[in-house]
Amino acid sequence: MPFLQLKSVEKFFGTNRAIKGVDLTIEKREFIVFVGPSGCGKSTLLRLIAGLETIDGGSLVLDGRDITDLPSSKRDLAMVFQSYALYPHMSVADNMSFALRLAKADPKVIEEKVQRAAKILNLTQYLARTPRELSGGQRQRVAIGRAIVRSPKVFLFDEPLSNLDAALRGQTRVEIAKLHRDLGATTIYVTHDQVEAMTLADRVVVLRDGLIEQVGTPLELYDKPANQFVAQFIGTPQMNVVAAAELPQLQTALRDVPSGGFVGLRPESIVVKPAGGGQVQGTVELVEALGAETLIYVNTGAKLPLIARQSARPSVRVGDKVGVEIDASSAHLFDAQGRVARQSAAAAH
Amino acid sequence: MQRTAPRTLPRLLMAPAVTTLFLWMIVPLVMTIYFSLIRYNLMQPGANEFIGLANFEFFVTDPSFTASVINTLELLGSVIAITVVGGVALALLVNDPFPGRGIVRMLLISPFFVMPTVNALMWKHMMMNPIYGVFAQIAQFFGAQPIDFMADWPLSSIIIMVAWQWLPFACLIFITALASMNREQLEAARMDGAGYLQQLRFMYLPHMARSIAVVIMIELIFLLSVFAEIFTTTGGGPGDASTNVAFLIFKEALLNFDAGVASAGALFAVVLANIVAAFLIRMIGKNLD
Amino acid sequence: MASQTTIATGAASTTRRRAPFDWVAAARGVAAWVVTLLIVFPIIFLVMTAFKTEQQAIEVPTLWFFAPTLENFAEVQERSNYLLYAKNSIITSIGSTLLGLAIAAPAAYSMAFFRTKRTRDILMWMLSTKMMPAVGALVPIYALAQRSGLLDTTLGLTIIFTLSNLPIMVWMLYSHFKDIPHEILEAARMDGATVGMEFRYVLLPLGMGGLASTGLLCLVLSWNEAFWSLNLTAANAGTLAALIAQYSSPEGLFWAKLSAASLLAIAPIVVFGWFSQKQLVQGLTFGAVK
Repeated sequence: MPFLQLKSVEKFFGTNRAIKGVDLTIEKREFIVFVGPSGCGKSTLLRLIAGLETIDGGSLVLDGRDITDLPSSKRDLAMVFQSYALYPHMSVADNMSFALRLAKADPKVIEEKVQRAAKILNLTQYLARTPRELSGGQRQRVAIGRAIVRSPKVFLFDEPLSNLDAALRGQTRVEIAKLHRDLGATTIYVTHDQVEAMTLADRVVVLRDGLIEQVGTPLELYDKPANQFVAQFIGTPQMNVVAAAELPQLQTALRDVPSGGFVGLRPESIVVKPAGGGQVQGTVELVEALGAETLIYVNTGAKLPLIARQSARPSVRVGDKVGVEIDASSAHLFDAQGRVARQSAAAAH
Repeated sequence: MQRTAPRTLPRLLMAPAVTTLFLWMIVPLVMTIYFSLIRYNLMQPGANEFIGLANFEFFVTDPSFTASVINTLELLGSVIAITVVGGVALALLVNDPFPGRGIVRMLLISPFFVMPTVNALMWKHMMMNPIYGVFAQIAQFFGAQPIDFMADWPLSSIIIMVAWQWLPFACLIFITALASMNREQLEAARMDGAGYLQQLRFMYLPHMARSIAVVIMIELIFLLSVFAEIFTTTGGGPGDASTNVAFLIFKEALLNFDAGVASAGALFAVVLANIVAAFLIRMIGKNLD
Repeated sequence: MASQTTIATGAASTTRRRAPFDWVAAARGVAAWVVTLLIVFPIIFLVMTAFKTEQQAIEVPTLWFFAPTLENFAEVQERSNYLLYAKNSIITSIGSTLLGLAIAAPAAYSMAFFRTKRTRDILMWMLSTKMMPAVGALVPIYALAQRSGLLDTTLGLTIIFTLSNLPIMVWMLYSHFKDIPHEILEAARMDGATVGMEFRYVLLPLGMGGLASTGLLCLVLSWNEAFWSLNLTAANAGTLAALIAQYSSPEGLFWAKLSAASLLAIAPIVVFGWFSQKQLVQGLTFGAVK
């Protein structure tokens, strides 16, 4: 039986239909990530699950119980806010024990749980401090600790890493993944960063404009995007999408491109060859040498340059004439509306 | 908000404030309008017949009326000019750090917290007294004749007192406004070669334009009712040389006991205040989210 | 292409250039101090006179150096029943502050957290009631006070002060409550807090600061209030403002005592005022200047 189930959930803000009927089932212990561009409704959906906004249509069922109309305080969910939302007038220990104290739990039990959470998060020496005396990273851990102590049915994270600097973000991401492995808790995580989505999720939910575009494992989304939007959203650098009309040389290589359609090529499926080789000719516009890999931007006369990715060090320079070889079987074909016409056959398993 | 939050709770919470303020606004207003249309002498209650606009006529044709309006305008204009110009200058002076700036700021705002009656007497007896006062002593030091402020320059004396009290207010507001100036903009201007006067003209003053407007409007509203200083020092005189509209109304009401005429005058003052308030409200409204 | 790398040695240079003396800054500092002392001079003079004897007080030219005495403060009460007026000032200030907070706080809370389309208009309207000149209400209030027996009573004054300051108090408390990040309250809700618990454990502690500073401001405004104190009181309920006003015509040898009385009257408020200056700016400009 699914642990958390959303059925045709809708949300209106005035006349604006922000969430347009979302269906989703989440299994116990899953790490689900909501991802999408700004304004797609991922935070709103999270808040609907949390009970911080009211659900205007559809239902929400948790562990067999319909919680659609229950107030947040009774849903047994814990949330880690983007701004951490720590209680500024309470110490770290009091922040973490607040919920249990409200529920009038046994003080000894509270103490034990707080100590355990503090140990997991390396906060033991900060327990007596107030949030004001902590760094951003420490505050974030307190926010997580506050959620852990409660052992809720589901953990909700609302863009928890966006206020951290880049180095800390990478580090904390690893810690969150480890935490999930150790605690095995069902988690819903909202982010706009698809790297976080790909690395943390068991399954990813891609949202756009209040609707789910696709649900799947990270690699499923990468290899088999359900439409052009998902294809271009997942993957850095972005998948090369070219109107079929702009590169007629491709028509011969890819026979079933629908008219007015688009061809999607991942950068790693494009190989830069010396001039004359490959199906398309062009000029190198930009070379980004990142050390572990190299990105080459080739201007083929289409609107946007093709980006090729290779692990070797750069062998060409800006201005060189080169050829681009495309593996036809790894191309994604989309029709004029962005729907998938043919999936890439070379999807890795 | 949760769907479960009741609609009645917020209304209940706001009720005391809204009702009391509503009564505070409506009741005096209605009564004033009523009084202004009847004959009402506080010493002779009972002879309250309707006399239409006679009170208004009486108020406006009072020989002191024109003088009081002129005095009011003069008071407003002078105090505002002094406080704005002085306030901006002072704020700019203490904007950049120097030793003891914190103390200076604290001292600068103290005149604003002095009780108006104390303020009045302090000036009248200590500074302006023609024999013992500080100004008199300075004059004597230079061999000049000391001025009898209260007798010869009553309105100017009041202006000095009120300006002294409100200068810190303006200064404080401008200090606050200056503090919110964008440092980077100033640095960009400096790199573009702007000297101090140019920075003043193109950066500081435009930034402060809004707070200057606010100060002017706030002072317009509060200075309209300058009363305590006049009451305590000159009593409006000599003659009506230092009577403003507020004091004139007071005279009618509590010295001549003619509540009818006083009410007519009060309505006049209220209308005046409303006009300024309308502008101020619009400005504040834009500031509210 | 040969690349050049430079290695920093971290050795300190042996000579340091001394910055040239900033004449402009020094001049500005001196000017600031001079201007400030000139402006504050009347108050300094007042303080000085309060500690002189009457003889010293009227000496011309002014006596700058003298042995301070406390005799004036002792006599102030005898001559003028100072304590009664002080008591009235204290009662009306504190009373109006407490009453004002009691009425304003719920309204501000409601406007900050149960915001509706009309909230803004109501707030504006409240502020506009403060903008009407007091003299406009003089006659009716006087008549009402007379009829209801509240003339010359501390109760009457307290009520008037409360009403006068209510708009500013609501406005300031509203700003403070609005500044409490609503995510903290949401966190409390997720932690299982009911509305009452939210209020008691989170809102109240966090709002304390706002309540205190608003109360302080009201205290200052009520204490200094002169218009109603002068017009609605006589022998019983006069505040210190009225007391001082009684000495408008000089009675000869009493300036030292007047200074002492004035000093006692203004000292606490000037001190309070220093602490509440930021709130004052916000309150009196209705937030138009941040």
